[in-house]
Amino acid sequence: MGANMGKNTSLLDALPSGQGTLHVVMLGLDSAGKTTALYRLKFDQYLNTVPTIGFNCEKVKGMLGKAKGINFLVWDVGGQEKLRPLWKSYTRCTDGIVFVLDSVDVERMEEAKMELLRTVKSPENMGVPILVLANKQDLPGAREPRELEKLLGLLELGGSGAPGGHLWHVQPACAITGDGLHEGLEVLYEMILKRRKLAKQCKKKTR
Amino acid sequence: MAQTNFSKIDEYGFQRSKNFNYEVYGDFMSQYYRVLARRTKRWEELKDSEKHKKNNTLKRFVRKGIPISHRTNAWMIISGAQLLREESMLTYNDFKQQINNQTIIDMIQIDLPRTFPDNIYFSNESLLPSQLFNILAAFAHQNNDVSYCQGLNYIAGLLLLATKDEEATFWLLKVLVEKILPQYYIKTMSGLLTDLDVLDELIKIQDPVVYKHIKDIGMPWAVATTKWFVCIYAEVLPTETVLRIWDCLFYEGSKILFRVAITLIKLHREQILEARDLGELVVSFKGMAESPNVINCHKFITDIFKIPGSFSKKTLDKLRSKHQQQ
Repeated sequence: MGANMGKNTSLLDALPSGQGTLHVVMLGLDSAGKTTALYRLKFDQYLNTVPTIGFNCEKVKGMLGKAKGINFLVWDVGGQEKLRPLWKSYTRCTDGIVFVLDSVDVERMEEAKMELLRTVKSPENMGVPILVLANKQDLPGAREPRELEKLLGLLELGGSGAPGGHLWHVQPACAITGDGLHEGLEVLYEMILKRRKLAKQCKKKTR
Repeated sequence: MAQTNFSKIDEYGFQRSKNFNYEVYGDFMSQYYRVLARRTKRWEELKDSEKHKKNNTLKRFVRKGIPISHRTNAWMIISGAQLLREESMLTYNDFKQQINNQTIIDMIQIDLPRTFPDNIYFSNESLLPSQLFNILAAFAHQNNDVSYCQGLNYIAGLLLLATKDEEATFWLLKVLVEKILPQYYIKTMSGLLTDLDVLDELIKIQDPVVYKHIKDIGMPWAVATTKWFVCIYAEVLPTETVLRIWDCLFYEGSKILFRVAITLIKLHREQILEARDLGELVVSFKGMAESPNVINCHKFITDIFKIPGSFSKKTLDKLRSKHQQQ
């Protein structure tokens, strides 16, 4: 994920995967809306959030479709670049990644792309499904998911077929009102299931 | 003192949380008002010669709490900020003149409206936010190794609320980041990472049961304690408790951070041991901020000097060099 994370045991490394609870980590540039999204999911209300030092962590229950009733442990890790040396203590083996994106901030889109790429390329995250939460869709000038896919170079990620490929989905959302968040979680859950299925089929084939 | 007498805004302008325990706070304050009055009287009586340089009387006085009216001056002296100012070739105004790097300015601007949005001085007025900008930007421009690091916004913000003095806040921030906690906020954060490992070892020695429980659940200490150290407990513990910790920190240095961490963990060991999984453990650590043990800052400060036992600088230095980050 971070530049420093390759060598070290990293982000969700130390976290045990509890029975039945899926571990999800939220990443993205500072001020993208990670914490706001987390507390919307958790409390279904808008909380005035402040820059995250370290992390926030909440249990969240899926509400829609197949994800209904599924328990997620969602980690929200402080986004400022300066704090990234600390990430290595938090991360490893996550079931899914939510990459939160400010859909309006075209100026920092390249920085966001680099960060997403680093996350995707990190060996610890091999094959982990990625939900890009295209946040701040309520604001004027917000880019549409199709355009964001291009801007972020998602089409080059290869998809599930390629070795080390990632399942991904861009979900338009507004963390302040909560629009799109549970829909996104549902898609992420489906991708996690799909990845497991694929892994099983792979095993069968090799036998 | 009846609980209804307390405003929903505390004396530093913070909105009290929804679950703020007015009853516990009322019980505590009924005694603490007397303590504060007595401390103020005693500080008034303190001779200038005892107030202006470090000595055992002053150390004792600092541990018992510096009254608000004396805090800015006392902090400037005991922290070494005063000396730093006197020896500096440049004045604070000179440093402010150097603000010109747009990248740094943008970084700070992102955090400015997000710093203490629930504090009336930051949300309703423009004076403190603009002062906070000046302090953070002036600091960032004169220290390339640190520049601006998240967390400094909370520290400088709370210093500003406590001192109401822009220039003093700048020098206090400078002495904290450059002298008291060196290597904490630099690019690699090596000092901070070392101290997180030192804390790990200290807990293992001080409370092996809690230590094992946390290891068994699989929570790295950094998950719970990063914010404690990065923000030196600002935005973590109640304001009055934080300021009392800072009184001691400015006088006695960074070992106070360990005293506080160990005390917090030992005071809340039952809650920690009751947690059965990672989620519950995280909740139990979060709950510490609102526990009566911590709200009663006067007793809490006594505890930090009692509960972890003796704690020499030599021991700490040894542990630090053992865990030195490459």
